[in-house]
Parts: sequence; C-alpha cells; structure tokens
Amino acid sequence: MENTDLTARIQAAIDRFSDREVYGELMLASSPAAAKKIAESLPGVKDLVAIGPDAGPAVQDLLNREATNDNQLTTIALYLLSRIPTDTRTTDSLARPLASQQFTGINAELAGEVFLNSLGQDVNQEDRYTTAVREAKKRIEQNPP
Amino acid sequence: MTTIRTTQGRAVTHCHVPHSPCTRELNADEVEFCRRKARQHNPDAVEISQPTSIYNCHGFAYAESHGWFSHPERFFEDDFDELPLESAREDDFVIYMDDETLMHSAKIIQVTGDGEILELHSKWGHLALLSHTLHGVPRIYGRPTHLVRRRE
Repeated sequence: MENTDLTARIQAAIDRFSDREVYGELMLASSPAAAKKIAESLPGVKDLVAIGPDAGPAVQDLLNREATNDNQLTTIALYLLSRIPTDTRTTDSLARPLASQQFTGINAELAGEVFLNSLGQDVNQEDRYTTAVREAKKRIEQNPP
Repeated sequence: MTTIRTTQGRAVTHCHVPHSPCTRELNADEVEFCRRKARQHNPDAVEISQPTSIYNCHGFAYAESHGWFSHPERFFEDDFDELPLESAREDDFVIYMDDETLMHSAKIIQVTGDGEILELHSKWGHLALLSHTLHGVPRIYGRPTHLVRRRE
C-alpha cells in the first residue's frame, strides 16, 4: 500500500510540471544557474526533491525518455539528479550521452556538473563541460558494456 | 569558433548554434511558443527581434549578440565597473539577481535627466529581444541589483 502511495505521489509530481505551459518557463533561462533556479520554482519539482532517493528511478526514467526528445524536461531531470542523492547508476547513465555529446545547450553543462559531482569532482564552471566529456570517455573505456 | 577575449586577454566561453555544446535553432512552433510566453510575462514588452537560440541576454549585452554566453563574469571582472543603480546612463547594463544567482542582463536605452531608467532592451533566454521597463521582466529573473558600465 505504501509503495503504491509513493509511486502515485511521484507520478503526480511529474505530471505537475509535464505540461508544456509549465516546463516551457525554462525557455527563459540564459545559463545553467538560471535554469536551476527556474526548475526549482516549477510545481512538482520540490515534491520530488522532498521524496528523495525513492524518486531517483522515476527521474532517471524521465531523463532516459526525454534526453533526445525535449530539452526542457531534460533540464528538470538533470536538476533533480543534482538534488536527489543517487547511486553510481547516475554516473554510468550519464557517461555515454556525455561522451557522445548528446546533451546540448544548457543541458550539456548541467549534465557535466551532475556527472562530475557523482565522481566527487568540483571543476571550475568554465571548464566543466569539456572536463566532463573527457572523464565520461575515460569511464566508458574503463567499464566497457 | 571565434575566441572572445576580455581586454585582459582572458577567453570567455560561449557557443554557436548548431555546434556542440550549443543547441539547435528554434523551429516555427517554438518561435510562436516563445512569443506567447513573452506576452504572458509582460504584454507591454515590445519585440525588437524574433525569438532565437543564437544568442542570449549576456551575448546581446556584452558581446554584440555574438553567441550564447552562460558565464559573463570575466567580462565584468576585466572590462566593466560597477556603479550605483541611481547613476544609470544610456548604454549601461542592469543585472538582475535572484539571491546570489545571476539571472539576467539588460541594456539601458533611455534614462531621464535624474537617472530614472525608462527603457531597456534584453533577450529573455530563447525568447525574443524585447524592449521593456526596469521591472518589466519575468518575475523569475529576480530584482535589478547591479549596474555595470564598460570601462573606457
């Protein structure tokens, strides 16, 4: 029963920002920092942060689904991954799209930031993306599929 | 990609559509969506040029719309002086902050004789380049907190 309630809460939170009129506010962002501020202001986002690691798989699913589809929903998923403690699956799931430069625009740097944080690396914002791509390629070489 | 440098020789990171890590240019549907968003936030704002992902507010303000600049801090450090908002002049720039986060830059177009800022031009993310008043920006951009002037 509890699991069903939690699943419903997570889905309800995702539904709250999944309307284009809502997530489209991210079109106002001019930088990763501004995008994070806008993302955290959207309905449902704080609920998922409050739920914490239990929301991780749903956020990961959202990222996998939208990474090549919708930039703004991808931004929200990346913001959530930056706020919700997750395990090494996050690192591994970001390595390949980062290495192949699949993320674009603000998401490229956000993904780089989440990836480097998961490796415990704090890199100057100017160098974050190029460092993340380099580290992602290294990780893939060390852990072939 | 052209390297944009401050007068101190430091490169300022930026990108150009459609090259990585920049995104692609907006399609017609997205352009219309952005226009609607601008009207929702300020129906009195006047479009100067159409929505685009080619440049952002910082690129417009500090690099003549050269590209998308996510981190304009080196411009401020090397080429601009910070002044009180009350001393605004045309061609100065207003910075909008939400707490400690730099959210937006806008160029001052018109000021009264006693320093009241009447009109600014700024690019709202992927939205249009717009003409607006000092407080006529989306609320999420926070407050106009800093005034910067290009060092002569």
